Amino acid sequence: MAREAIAMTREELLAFLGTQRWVALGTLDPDGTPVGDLVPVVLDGERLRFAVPRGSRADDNIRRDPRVCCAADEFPSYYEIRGAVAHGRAEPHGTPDRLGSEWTEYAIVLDDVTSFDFRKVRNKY
Amino acid sequence: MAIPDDVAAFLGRHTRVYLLTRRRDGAPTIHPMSGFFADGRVTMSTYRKSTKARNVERDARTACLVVNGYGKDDVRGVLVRGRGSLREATMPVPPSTESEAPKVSSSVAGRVAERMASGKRVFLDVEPDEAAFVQRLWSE
Repeated sequence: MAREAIAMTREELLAFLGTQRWVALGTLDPDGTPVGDLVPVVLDGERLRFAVPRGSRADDNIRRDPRVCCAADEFPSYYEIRGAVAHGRAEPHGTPDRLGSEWTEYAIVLDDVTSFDFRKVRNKY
Repeated sequence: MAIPDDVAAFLGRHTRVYLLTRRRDGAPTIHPMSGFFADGRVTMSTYRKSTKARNVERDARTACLVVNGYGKDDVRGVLVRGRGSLREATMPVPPSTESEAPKVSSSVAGRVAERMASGKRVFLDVEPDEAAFVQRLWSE
């Protein structure tokens, strides 16, 4: 099955990401190993904004290497699985009002995204 | 490595996994998966020719973020950081009776077993050098 066959349209992607409250965030440790965190997220137009605790491992990793990945998915049932994985360079976005000064916010542009929507799978077994 | 009891208990209960690998350009990427914890490592099933399998073969630096539940807001997770590798095996995916993962039909499970036996699918293991709860400091 070609991946493109079950990808979300741009409209579907933005609608999906607009409902997400957290994502799995991937960053790179100093030795190059990818690591993951759970972070709060909001969709802001064509960008995804996420927050990390100031001075945390994820924050330190991003300051050293801003390449990140954000993944969100839903599993109501097998043939309703939906998800999106966005890659980008995290740009500082200040302190998020909703979380307070212990947090710092970053944003990525949604121009390198892989998505899947199993409701589009045609051959169900 | 010795995994703390509470971390091992969490890993033993939950099957929702975000596999982290590095793309060809070195950037981190994430693969949402189902997996299981056994013999001190996290194991998933994938196609040998999949992007995630190729990423791990090219660069073994790998991690798994294992989280509780499916669709729950009170999400918690354990980060397993370590080395990834591929392993041929004839056994199908493990017993799913206690799994919280969305159920697949027996025909899907049967096809996975066939493809494991034929070598089209392999196990992808992550052997930990670190396993710990990740912080989740915000509230809804």
